[in-house]
Amino acid sequence: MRDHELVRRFLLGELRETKTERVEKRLLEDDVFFDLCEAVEAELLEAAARGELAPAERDRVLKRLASSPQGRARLALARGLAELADGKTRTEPLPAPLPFRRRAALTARPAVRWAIAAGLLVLLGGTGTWVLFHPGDGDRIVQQEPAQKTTGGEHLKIIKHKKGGAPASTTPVEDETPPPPPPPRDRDRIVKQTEPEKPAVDVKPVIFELSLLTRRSGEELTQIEKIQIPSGTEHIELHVDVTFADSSSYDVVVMRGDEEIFRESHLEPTSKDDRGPFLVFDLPASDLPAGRYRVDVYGKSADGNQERIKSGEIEVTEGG
Amino acid sequence: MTPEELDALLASLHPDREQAAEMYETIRRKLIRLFEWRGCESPEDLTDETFNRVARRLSEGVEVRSSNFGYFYGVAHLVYKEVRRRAAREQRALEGGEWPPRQPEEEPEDDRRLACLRRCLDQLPPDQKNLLLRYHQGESNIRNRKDLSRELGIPINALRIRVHRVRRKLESCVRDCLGR
Repeated sequence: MRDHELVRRFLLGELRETKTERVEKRLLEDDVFFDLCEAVEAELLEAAARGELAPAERDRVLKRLASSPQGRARLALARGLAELADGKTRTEPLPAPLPFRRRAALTARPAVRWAIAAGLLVLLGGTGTWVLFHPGDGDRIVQQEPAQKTTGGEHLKIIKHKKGGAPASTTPVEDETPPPPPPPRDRDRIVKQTEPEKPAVDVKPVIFELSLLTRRSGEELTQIEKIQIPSGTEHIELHVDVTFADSSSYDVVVMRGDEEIFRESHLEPTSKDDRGPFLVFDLPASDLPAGRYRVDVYGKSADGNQERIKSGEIEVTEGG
Repeated sequence: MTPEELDALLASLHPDREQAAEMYETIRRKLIRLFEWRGCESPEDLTDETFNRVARRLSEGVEVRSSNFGYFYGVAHLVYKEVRRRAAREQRALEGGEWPPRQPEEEPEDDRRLACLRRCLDQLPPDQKNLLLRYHQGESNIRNRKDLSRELGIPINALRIRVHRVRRKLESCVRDCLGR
């Protein structure tokens, strides 16, 4: 794994404990590696500030890197730098760029113009609604409005009107000519091409029923449940039966290593069909990478104290 | 840490006291970050605790067999594990009671922060300021950065590090400015 990818995964908490420790040792010993790690951290914060990360990844970045006061200060610095660099709050012109051989403006190249036009066509076909009015054309009002909404994105249809009449046709008609490319904002920037909205996929989570032991004091854990998360799984649910417990709510704590709290959640039991109460611990599959964990369930005992009522070890593998 | 313990600690880092002090600062800064990346609440305190323990052991005559860094890391890791255990117990105790939510610390307003950032940027040498602004310009700026690394004739990671060292100076300046 390249260093950049390694430190990125380290910062996002995606490495196993042994690998994390190796990275940490190297960070202490290797100044260049350490600087790279801080640089990647700054890039992650900037991407989060710009809204360039997927929601789950953004949440993870903010939680891991920007929840402390120092982290929030770094995030604010990243945001401020991005704003100043983009000229959004600039009151004076940007200083002359570094001396380098100037190339022709990107948008002057025909290939780039066609790429921009194609990107805009895709953008028109895949997103939003708007109304165009052609004042010189009395026979036709070209109206683009959303068709029946599908599971993802909206389709456009052009309704042709005859004078005074009902719409002649509602069959979808593609745009005839692509709009001209926008004027160049900056010679050295490439216009971002927006991809069409992908249809939403109904993703059902993969469910694992954990048969954790009901703990008695001093009882040793002997059983390790193996969980294999199929490739491509997005969400998983861990179900824990609490039929014989009395609590109205529980704390589920997933530990990694000796004492490292990896994930935790406060849950209320749910019931379904004839099934007794059980807990549903819902999390993205990426939040439970391969490795061994201990799962503890805490509830309130009869005398009102918090106690561990169930416990078990699980071994998570990926694939299949 | 007593003066004798500090002397033993510095001596273990380097025979030259000035270089030893530099190493001390480097290790200290790195440990603070490692504790931060582990999600610890008081990284400076934990780092000080690490140093105190190392200094105490050295002054007691404990021989360090592994490299200095390895030894510091080992002690820091133990400190971290103790903190996690304590935090887990406290968390369970907190959830049992009805405690008022923790008040967030007051933070400087965006305007003041931006003003400090501008001032500090202007204090940088022009080539460093240009480099920093160019590096951070534009959305999805990976391509921009690759172009920049090509123009400067250095690999992308070297560019990252170079920019980061300038940014670190900026960060320190902004921190001082906000602290006034």
